[in-house]
Amino acid sequence: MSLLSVRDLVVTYATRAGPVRAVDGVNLDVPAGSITGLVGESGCGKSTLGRALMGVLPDAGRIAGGQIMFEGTDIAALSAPARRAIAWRRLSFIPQTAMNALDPVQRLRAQMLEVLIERGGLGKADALARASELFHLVGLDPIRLSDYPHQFSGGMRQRASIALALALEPALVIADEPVTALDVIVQRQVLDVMRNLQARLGLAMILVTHDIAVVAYACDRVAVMYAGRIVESGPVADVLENPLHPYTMGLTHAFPDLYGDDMTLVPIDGTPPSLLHPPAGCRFAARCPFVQPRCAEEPPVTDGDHHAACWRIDEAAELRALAAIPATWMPK
Amino acid sequence: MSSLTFILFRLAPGDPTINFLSPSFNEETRAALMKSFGLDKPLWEQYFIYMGNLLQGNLGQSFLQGKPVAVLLADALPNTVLLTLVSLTAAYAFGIVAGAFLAFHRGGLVEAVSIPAALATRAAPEFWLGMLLLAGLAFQTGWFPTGGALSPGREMNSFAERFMSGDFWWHLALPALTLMLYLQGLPLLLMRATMLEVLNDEFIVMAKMKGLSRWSVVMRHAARNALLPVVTAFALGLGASIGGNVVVETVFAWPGIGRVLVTAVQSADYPLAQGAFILIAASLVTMNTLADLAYAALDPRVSVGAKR
Repeated sequence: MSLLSVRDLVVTYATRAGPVRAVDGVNLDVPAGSITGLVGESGCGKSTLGRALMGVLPDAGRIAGGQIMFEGTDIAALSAPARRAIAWRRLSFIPQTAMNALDPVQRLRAQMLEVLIERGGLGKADALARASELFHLVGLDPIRLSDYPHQFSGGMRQRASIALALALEPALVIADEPVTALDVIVQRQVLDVMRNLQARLGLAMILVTHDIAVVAYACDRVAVMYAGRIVESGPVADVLENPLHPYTMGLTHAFPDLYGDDMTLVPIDGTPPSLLHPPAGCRFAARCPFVQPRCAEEPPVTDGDHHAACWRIDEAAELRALAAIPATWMPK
Repeated sequence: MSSLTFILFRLAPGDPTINFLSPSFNEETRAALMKSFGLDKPLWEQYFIYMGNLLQGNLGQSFLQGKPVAVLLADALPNTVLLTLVSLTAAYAFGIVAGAFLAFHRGGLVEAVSIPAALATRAAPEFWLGMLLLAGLAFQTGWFPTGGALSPGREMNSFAERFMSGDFWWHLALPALTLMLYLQGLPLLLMRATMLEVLNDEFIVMAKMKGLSRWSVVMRHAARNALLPVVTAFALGLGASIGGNVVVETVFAWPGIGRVLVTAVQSADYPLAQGAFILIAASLVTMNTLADLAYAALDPRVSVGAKR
């Protein structure tokens, strides 16, 4: 039984032109004690999905359907006070840009104590001790608790954000592009901190990213998102080595290989469809080199731990061979 | 600044002796007066005498009233400072609360009514507002006095006694209200705008994610950050109002710096007018400095000097 189980989740944004279905029928399972990568290009709805899970969609956004089962309850259906009661205590968040995510006019100590005291119910002395312990845990000197966020480097801010996220020992942490703004050396340090703590504390994590390399490095499982839907998911090794969906095949060729093999990067031609009027059937059809007439209808989702939504799953091995040839992805 | 005021007043038309002389006075009397004011000397000499005195803290003697300028200004300054402080504090207290409130109730009927109202009072000329209030609350109903700082015949021995007296505050009410109505638009709109901006900041979203109470989100995080520019505006407003009260002080015959300035200019009382201008300029500069210092105290990203 999964810790988090999202079923047919739909999130819409109200716009002048009508509702935009940023997340459109997402199914996602996150087992306890593992890191699940949520990967996709800009605008595919991955950050919106993360916000919906945290219950803080912008004013224009709302959950228009589906369930978010977390520890046995549908948290999408909870009243605001009940939702607030589990916020941060059971599931917390590591933001994309740690600069703005920390209050610029308050010391880190105040921001840690606020969470530990107001949400954790600790006394001041205990909270102070815990704040030092947390800083220690993420590799920051507790002396720096008396600093303001602007006195931290990007990597340090990200570590402080991790300390904040872990403060109340949640069961699930959602990290939205936690290393995107950092250089690769610091990226790796921060990912190591996250992975070590995740393993040590046995918590589950959703790592939202656009970077396949981050997924390959840090995640146990991966879900590939495209135009508001999850097109493929499964264990990282399976999905990246033997992708079933043509979009995942394209993605793996659009990033440099982690192990430095010489290879040509091949872009996927075209842009994702408008989510205002998404096409019927497979959403990747317009960009897919293997498109067939039946792709105009909704593709079936295969069963099993590694599954994908594609009409040509049975031919996946041949398609992978074709996808490895750059000419396949050339615009027609 | 002091050179500029010196030149400006000398350039302006007007004869300082006009106020003393009835047409029947002859040319000799006028010359004697000019000589006693030092106005018979060449302009450059007048300038050097003036600057020399100024450097020693001597603002000179008023032509018209025969008293030292410093004494006249010291009499008027507390009135202006009190009027300014009371109205500015009231305006900012109201503006901050109302602005924050409006930021939260965006797009509603409340906003549709109150934003134009705030803008209208901000755009309306002070003297017109003052005259309306005078007509309504003083002349028609008689609830408030029509002008001055004390009722006729009342004498106070000390400043303390004067400012503690109900009579003084009763006289202060209408000019302060006028000024407050005029001043509240800026903090209101500023607070609303910065609040709206801050509410979209990532750390506010984070505060909500943390499940913090609405009070914590709004007061500890949003308002604290949104207040920064408003505090600056307050200090600048304080400096500007010391000189900018001219209109309100004139309408309500309030014996402050603004009125001293107006009468001095009207009667070509150079030393008094120059003194008033220098005082106004000095308070502006002081308040600018205070605003910068206050900003450094409130926003840790701004620090004074190399202190860490």
